[in-house]
Amino acid sequence: MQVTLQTLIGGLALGAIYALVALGFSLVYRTMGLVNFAHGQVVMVGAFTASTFYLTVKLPFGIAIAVAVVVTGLLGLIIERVLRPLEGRDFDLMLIGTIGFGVMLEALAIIVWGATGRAVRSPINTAPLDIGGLKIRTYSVVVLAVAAAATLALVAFLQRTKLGSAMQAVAMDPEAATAVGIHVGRSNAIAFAIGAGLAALAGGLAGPLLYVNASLGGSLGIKGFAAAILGGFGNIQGAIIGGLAIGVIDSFAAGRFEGYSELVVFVVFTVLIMVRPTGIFGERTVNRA
Amino acid sequence: MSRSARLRIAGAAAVVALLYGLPYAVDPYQIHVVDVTILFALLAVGLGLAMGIAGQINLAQIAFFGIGAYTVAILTTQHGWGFWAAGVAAVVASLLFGLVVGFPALRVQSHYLGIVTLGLALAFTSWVTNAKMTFGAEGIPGIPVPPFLFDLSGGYLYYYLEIVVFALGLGFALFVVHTRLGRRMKAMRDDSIAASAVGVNVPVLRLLAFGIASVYGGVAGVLYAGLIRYVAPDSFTPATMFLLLAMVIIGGRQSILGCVVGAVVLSLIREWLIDFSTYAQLGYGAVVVLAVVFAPTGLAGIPRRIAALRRGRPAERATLRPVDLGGRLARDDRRRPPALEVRGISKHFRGLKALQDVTLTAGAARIKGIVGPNGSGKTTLLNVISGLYTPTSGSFALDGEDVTSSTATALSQRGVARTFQNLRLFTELTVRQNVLVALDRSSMWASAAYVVRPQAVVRAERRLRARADEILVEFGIAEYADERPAALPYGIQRRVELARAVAADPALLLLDEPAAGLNGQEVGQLREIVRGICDSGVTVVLVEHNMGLVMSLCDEVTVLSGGRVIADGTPAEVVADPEVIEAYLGDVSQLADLVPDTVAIAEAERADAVRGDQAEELL
Repeated sequence: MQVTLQTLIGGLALGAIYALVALGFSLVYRTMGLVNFAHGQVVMVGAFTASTFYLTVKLPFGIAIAVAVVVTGLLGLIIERVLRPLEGRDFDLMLIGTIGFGVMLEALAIIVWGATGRAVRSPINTAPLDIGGLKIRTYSVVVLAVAAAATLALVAFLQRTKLGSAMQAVAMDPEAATAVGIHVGRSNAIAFAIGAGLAALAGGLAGPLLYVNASLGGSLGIKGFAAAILGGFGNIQGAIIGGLAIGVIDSFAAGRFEGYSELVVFVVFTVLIMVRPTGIFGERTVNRA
Repeated sequence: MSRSARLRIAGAAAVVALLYGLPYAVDPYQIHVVDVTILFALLAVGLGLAMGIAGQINLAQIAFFGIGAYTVAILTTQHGWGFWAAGVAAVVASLLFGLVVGFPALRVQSHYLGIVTLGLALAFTSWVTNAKMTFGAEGIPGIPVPPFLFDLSGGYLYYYLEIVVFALGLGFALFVVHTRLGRRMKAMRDDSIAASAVGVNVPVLRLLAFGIASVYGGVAGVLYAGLIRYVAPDSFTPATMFLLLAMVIIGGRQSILGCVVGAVVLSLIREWLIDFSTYAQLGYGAVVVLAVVFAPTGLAGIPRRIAALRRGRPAERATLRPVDLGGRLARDDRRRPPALEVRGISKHFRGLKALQDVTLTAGAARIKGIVGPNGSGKTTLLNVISGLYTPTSGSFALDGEDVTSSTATALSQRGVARTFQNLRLFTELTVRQNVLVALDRSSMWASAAYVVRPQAVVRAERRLRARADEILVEFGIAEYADERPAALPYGIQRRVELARAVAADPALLLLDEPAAGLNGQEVGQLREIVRGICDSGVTVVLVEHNMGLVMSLCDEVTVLSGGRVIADGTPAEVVADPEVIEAYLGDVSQLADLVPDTVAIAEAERADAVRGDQAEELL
């Protein structure tokens, strides 16, 4: 029981990271119907950038992450701008284009930061919290809190601000949105930038939990993506639940199957998709067929 | 012998001579590079078939390759199997894994399929790096030299084995692409709904696409094991998968030869930049991005793009010829037209009740009109009858036989054909190929002939082509046979879709607003066509807003409003029904427009026809 709870809590912290990655995927998908296969690599660039500003430039952890968010936000704008000619024309080509960006970003990261990678020390050095015999890393609690705050901020942005509402309108009907004077291209660009910013937040927070190297993007990306699909692609609450679920599955699989944990996660995920392709909460798609 | 045929033979002879002589011109290291390049080309051909031709995103090709190589390694080094016996088992193992990977394609497509296939490929990598049987990251050394007529331990003679296998693989792929199986795959890629409506068995075809891709992967894996005689997880990572993907995209995924060119070019560039592999990766990532934005058809598509620029759009020289359905009417081997009975059909989309308890019948070899305001459920009803939607309740029958639970494909094979309101033509196929897809009524089992009796496929192909050309002439669109539909004016595209529906040799033809967007002259021609089709013994259901056409053409008319039947009877009865006037027209003063004034219609069409002729002369 003790071990189970301990594993569960470890899984939740990792799951919060996956949830943030999934949130970025979902935001871009619901706005423009595109799956950004480079998202994982953007997370990785965010993790490296944050670690550089934290470890080398010696900025405070939070500010280092904020810098990383700005850097990847710009990166998102660039990706969106380059692929914009394909918007609404050929999803498969756009998808392959984002894979191309992912390959480029990974190569760039190796050129800039080297192939070996780095460990990031935790910004919080207090002793683990002890609740009824359960040892909980303080940093895990911080990660969960930041993820929750980011989600609430995103929901508030989408529902309460004019810009957010405009993005929702584009998601529902780009032509009608254009007709009422919303700039669809700009809305997509903002979605991409926010998605990439969330990626940097996820990457920066993942730094102290995981080893940061160029292949981090691949594994975080695919698990975040699995989380997004599991919750129902494009669905904000689904991304959160899906992320936490993948984190917990991952954490239990790592305990029970050790090296085979990835295999187990992907097989379980494939079976779930076969059973329920639209995820737990149903897909929020942009139907532009 | 014609000049082009002579040139082609000379070209082929030159290629053979070049490939034969290649080993004499390169050093041992270079021949090794060539050997690896050929394997990548073989993998790219398989990936091109699945992704470019069948439209199935497949990021597991590298795992098929790995399964092939690892199976050989395990069976030869640990179980004492001979190399070729292990090779056969390896291809079978790859095929089985390919079908497992392809299975999700029955439920999900596009990005979902991308992630599922990538996930399963990663699961494979995870297995080989962890299992005892595969010796983890260390890999399996000591795979024996494949025994053969000549010594295969060196790269030079191995080259000849590879090039022969590759030529066979390439030849088979080209054979598939240019005959009915490939055509069906392309149709499925362009529009899977329209494909199933013309009788293509989409689920089986998707599995088959993955099956074929995995066989190519497995064969390449066996050859890899024999060439390197050592396998390790590093060779089968996602990075290699993306390189393979780049080969296919840069070469041109919709062209098998393009995939080969892409594989050769990228393999050589990778070799050339082997000391700068990170920069090479950056470079090919960038080229993939540039390719999808500026040259989506890859290197292979460049000649066609140049040709299209020089030729100009056919739309500027298009006119629609009249139809001549004489050939069809004379045929006496037709099926008996069925009577359609729809009994109490309801279709709900969550809260929305699109159809509520709709009951109607269409008599054999009669034309049934279905009219109603927008959103009254007409298209939903056609989608139910053609098997695209499963009704929430109720049933429908053809000649008394309940076919409610039949799929679109099964209904098509029973003789139900349809057109779509918003035109669903196969955009990357020519007009002739669009017709050919529907004309081909062979079952998926007949695809076995590709392996067992290829000559039968060629003969059937010739027969189908001749028949397709007849249909194109009958429908007056023969001159556009080699054009892509998107390049043609709207009226001609409509005609093509109608020809495609008729090519399926229907007993029941469902037309969804066939007159939408047509001018007066074209509507007149449409009337003749539909009348001719019905007279040749086909039951027709016509959904249409053009009341003049409905009133003058239909034997009976059903009026839908808000998903319910509000009137049913002859055109004259329906028009007089007060409820129809209320729901459909709202204003009695417009009623006069509905009663067909045949003289006026004929005059208007004649005037249009004269104008059309004059326009043609001016051109």
